[in-house]
Amino acid sequence: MKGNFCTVKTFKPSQRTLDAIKEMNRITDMSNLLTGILTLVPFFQIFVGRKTYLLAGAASSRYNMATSDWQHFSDVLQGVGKNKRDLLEGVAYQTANSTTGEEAKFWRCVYGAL
Amino acid sequence: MGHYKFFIAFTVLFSMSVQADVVLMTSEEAKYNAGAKYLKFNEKLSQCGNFKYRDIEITDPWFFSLKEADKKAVLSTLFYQSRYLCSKKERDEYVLSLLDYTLISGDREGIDEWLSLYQSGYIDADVRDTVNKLDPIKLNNFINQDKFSRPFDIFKVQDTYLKN
Repeated sequence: MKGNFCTVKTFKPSQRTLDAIKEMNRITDMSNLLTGILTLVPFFQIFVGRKTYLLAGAASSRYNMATSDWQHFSDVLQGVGKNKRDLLEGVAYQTANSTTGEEAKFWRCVYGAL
Repeated sequence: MGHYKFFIAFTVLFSMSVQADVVLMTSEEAKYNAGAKYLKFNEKLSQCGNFKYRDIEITDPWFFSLKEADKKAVLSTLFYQSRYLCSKKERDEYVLSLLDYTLISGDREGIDEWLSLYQSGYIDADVRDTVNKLDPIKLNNFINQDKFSRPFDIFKVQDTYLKN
């Protein structure tokens, strides 16, 4: 990803972010992945803690990511096919444009990590 | 993914085989062909990805005459179009080969997945509806410039040319 500075401060995810995550999970879950399921649920578990479940916990969770977290996320996504990563970029771009503040910055970081 | 891994495995093993005309292809040949096209498509996507942070400049008076919301929609259009055009040839060849494979073999898994992945179309619907209200000739003259035919640093462009 470009640059080394993508620290995102705490923000509460809006419905727009939750919808985007669902769409990204839909894209990466599209087929039977033999090498394991690479969805974005692990991404939020990495950041928020393994006991936090995406739909139940995300609405009240707070996210606070450091630069190293983005590199880890980027590494995890290397196993996703390029055409799917291309689609994920589109989702990240559109969501960055549909949100504001730290939330928009978060999605710009997701875009950069893809 | 398992479906495409199968494509890739066969393509690697049989990459030296002679490609038959489509009308004579067997299911296996059609599958190898689709796998090869899929690899080329993904390779092209990687190449296009190298332009992700390309700098571009906008100087067109027409663009600067637009309302902010329309400017934003036009830039979004450039984002989607530049990515689409960059890999258009390889995408079209892959999709055609996928159709050929489906018709020859009756196996719909690949084409169904493609249709599902791209069910939202190639562009956000709100962006498309906004730009389609603009002057079509001026819009097309602007977006069809060669500098927009491959990806560029969209966020840098937005930050430069849009009021925040």
